[in-house]
Amino acid sequence: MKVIYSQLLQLIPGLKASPKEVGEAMTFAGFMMDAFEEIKYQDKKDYLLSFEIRQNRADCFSVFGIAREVAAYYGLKAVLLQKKIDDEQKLSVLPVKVEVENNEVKRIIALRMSDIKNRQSPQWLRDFLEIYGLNGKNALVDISNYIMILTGYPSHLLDSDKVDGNLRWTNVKEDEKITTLDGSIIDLTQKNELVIRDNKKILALAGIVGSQVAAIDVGTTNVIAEMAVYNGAIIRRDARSTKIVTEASNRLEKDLDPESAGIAMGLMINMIKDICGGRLASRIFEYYPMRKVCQAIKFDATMPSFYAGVEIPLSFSLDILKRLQFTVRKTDKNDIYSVICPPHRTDIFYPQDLYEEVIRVFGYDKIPVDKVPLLEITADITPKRIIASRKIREILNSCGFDEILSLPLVERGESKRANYLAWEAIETENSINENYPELRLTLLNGLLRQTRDYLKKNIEIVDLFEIGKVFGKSDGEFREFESLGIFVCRGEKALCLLKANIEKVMRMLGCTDIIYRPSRMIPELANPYNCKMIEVGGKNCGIIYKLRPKAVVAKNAYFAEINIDELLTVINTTANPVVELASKLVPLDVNVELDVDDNPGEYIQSIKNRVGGDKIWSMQIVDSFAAGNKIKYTIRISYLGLIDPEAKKIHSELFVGNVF
Amino acid sequence: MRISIDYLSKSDRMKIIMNLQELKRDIGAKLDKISSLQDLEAFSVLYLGKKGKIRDMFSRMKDIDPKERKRMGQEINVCVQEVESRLQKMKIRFSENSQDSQEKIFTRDAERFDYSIPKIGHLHPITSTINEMNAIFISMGYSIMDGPEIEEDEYCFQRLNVPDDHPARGMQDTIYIKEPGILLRTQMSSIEARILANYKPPFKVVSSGRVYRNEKVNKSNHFIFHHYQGVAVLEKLSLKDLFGTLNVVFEKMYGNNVVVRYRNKYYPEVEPGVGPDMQCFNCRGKGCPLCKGVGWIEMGGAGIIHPRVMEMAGIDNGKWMGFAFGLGLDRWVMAKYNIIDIRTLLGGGLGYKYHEYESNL
Repeated sequence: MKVIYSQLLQLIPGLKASPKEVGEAMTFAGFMMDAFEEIKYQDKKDYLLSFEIRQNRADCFSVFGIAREVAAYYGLKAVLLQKKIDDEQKLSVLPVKVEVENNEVKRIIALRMSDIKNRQSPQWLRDFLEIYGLNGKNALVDISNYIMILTGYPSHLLDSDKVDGNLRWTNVKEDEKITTLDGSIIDLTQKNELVIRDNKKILALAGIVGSQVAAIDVGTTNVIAEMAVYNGAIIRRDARSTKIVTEASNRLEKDLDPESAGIAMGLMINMIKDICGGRLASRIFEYYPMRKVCQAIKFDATMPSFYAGVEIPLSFSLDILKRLQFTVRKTDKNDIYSVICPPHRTDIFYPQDLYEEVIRVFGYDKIPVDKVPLLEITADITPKRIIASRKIREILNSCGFDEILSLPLVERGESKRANYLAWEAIETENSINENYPELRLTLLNGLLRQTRDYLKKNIEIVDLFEIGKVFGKSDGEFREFESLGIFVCRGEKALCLLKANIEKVMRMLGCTDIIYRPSRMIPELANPYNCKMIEVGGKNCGIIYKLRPKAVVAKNAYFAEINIDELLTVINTTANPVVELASKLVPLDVNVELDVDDNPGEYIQSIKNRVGGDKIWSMQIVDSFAAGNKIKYTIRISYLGLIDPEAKKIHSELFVGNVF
Repeated sequence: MRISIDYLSKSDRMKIIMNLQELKRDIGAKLDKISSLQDLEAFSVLYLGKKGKIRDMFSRMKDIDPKERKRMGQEINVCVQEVESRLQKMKIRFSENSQDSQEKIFTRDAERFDYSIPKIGHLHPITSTINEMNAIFISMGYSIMDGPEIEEDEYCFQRLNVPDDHPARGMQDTIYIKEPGILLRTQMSSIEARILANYKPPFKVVSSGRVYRNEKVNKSNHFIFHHYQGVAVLEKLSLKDLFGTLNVVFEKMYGNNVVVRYRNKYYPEVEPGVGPDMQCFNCRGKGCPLCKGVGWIEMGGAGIIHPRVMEMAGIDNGKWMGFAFGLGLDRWVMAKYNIIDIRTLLGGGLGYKYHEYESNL
């Protein structure tokens, strides 16, 4: 919201602060000055201050609102114009119907004027509007805009000679169109938009924009003026569905005080009379079904100090509230007051709202920032998943892997080609980024995209990983879990590197029973002859596979994905790898022959189960080669805590004729 | 001077014999002093060479009568053999200990030295920044949390004092999975709402992650960005504690010379609300394109948790107080790592130099 400094001086007699000082004070008080400009206004040097107004302060989207705040800050009084409308008793009330739910419209004030001489606005008005980026059109339109900027209340002026019959506030029931003042044609298709119409046509999208059909022009002599305050949610809804944002809708979608609309209407009507002449041609129509009543709020005058953490004198607290036009009454309890807020403050409900009022005018800059707080010691409630993810990153980082983060929203169908679980993609309903409508089912897509980018840029070695959420739906439920994706693409030994590192990760987290099985679900991008499921502790925790050459520019690319949430359920937290080495290990080899489809990992595990884990230091496949439709493995078992004869006895009993 | 051929006198013969004895003693003493191949070489030349002293002895034999000559000749030969044998042993010993032979032995056994520089792994700059901030908060006794990205309207808005008709709904454009109830979280405060609902105070927690807003993507805006959120609920807390906590973070992340201000700023989930700003490091507060002329960079939002939020979580406002804060991470990360385009952070152009690493020591 922009404010001209000279106008503040006019509205706040006694204001001595410089424009920059005013800007800085308002910044700390809740209205950040986001622009400051020296300007020429009415042939004099002046300053234009622009403030950010937050959603809760509908009253401050106006010069009056800012003036009230500045005056309160400096302990001065803002003198804001007020003019009444002389309601002509002998005239009839403007006939208006309001056919909406009670809570959609809070207040309407409307009347008709006649014998108006619309013309070009006076120079001062055109100069003023130019500061706010508005071109002067004609006096009537310019006055409406001026009052909106001054008071924060938009209004709508209609050429009453172009209106057929009576005004009606109602909701659209069928698909209709409206041609706005700037010539845009808007489709109203939601079948609930709030409009103002006459007997034949729509005159305005209420609170947002007027229609061309009853537009004011220089020849207008008879006018219907309406000023309305709405339920902000309705204006927001309609502005969103029609994709129209105007200065009017920007104000009316907030919680604007209906009570103060009367003052704004009075100023506007009197200004029209002053500049364009004219007279009232109807009595004032008013629709105000629920008159606003300001409730009293209990205020403990000691609490602002408690909330701020610094001492704020009680008398100062009370003085600030009064400066802000709150009515403060003592109660029979010490330090407890009953406070009634002024009607324009639609954001005050709780005592804490009042504490904030005191502290923000007292000044946040008076609260020390250099004291390191000594806060109570609290229990550590960090879940395992966070610790596991951190540990995984450290492990892979130290193994030379680079981390990427990729888009969780992907092209339609893109993720399905790499999916390995029994679920479907989740699609967003309203993403304006049409290229990314689906949530990813797997981490492969992002890793693949990064790899292709690297290969195009001549980066030869690709060792990447990502930890992030993957999403899917099954049985109507939306699911997400934390996943680890690792991608290796290099000339040789890609699979070795990948397998070694995922096992390193899993073992360092505490997983021991790791087995690779043929995967039941083979992703489209996977080489079906080189795709395995990763089973840990009997649970399916992930997948590892070679990518089809066409998926990647290079030939030797491998990917693994692990469900971290699932992995955490099978972590062995009681494993103890530490031993006292009292004697030498006894390494003994055995040659075994397994079918091509047999899982040597499972075989090794079964040996370990038979012998007992406490007697085994390590079990490794030291050699393997294909022999027809079998594979021969040389397995080296290093026995722990056994003397030679004992180890040999166990070994020979296990492998009679090299058969287990 | 040549001595006459016809046999030397007895005294002259005695002199030759004495010279031989002397030579043998001299040779013995010199041999003991040989300590290197070079010494050995020099000795060989001096005594065994063509003009060496032993050869000279041989040449004097012809002046001795044949009976003596044979005996002396044999004695000299024995001496030469002993010297040569000893020299040979010394030579072998010195050769084994010489640098050349050492090098050959070790070279045989040594693997070829690999001069290639190993590739170093890297964490994503957002992860690195989050880790840094987590470390700060862990040192202050905070736990780390996370939560779902597919969120319910209840936790993303309603429990944060933003009901359906609240003006603040207009502040964020939401991406829906199933309007109006299921959406992609627009802020990390949804985790705050879950923590307040599911944990009994006292607690101090931070969380970080992705949030989604329905915005078009360009160089400086994205529909996905990263937030860092914190919430503390204790028996006593104030704005001073909040400012102090945030100041610790800013100073550790940006150095002791960082200039920060805290101003009143409205957020529906807090009351009083706070907007922490950092003085623009580019123009030092004078105003520049980076800070859009304001001289300050908005770092996020904070405040004392709104009583309505506490009520909805079933937390007694009379006994407990809380503060919360949320900081945007992306611009912070972009400034730190000189990334100009926000799209780079989520793929598309982010790379890591193989051999360089950011040490946080």
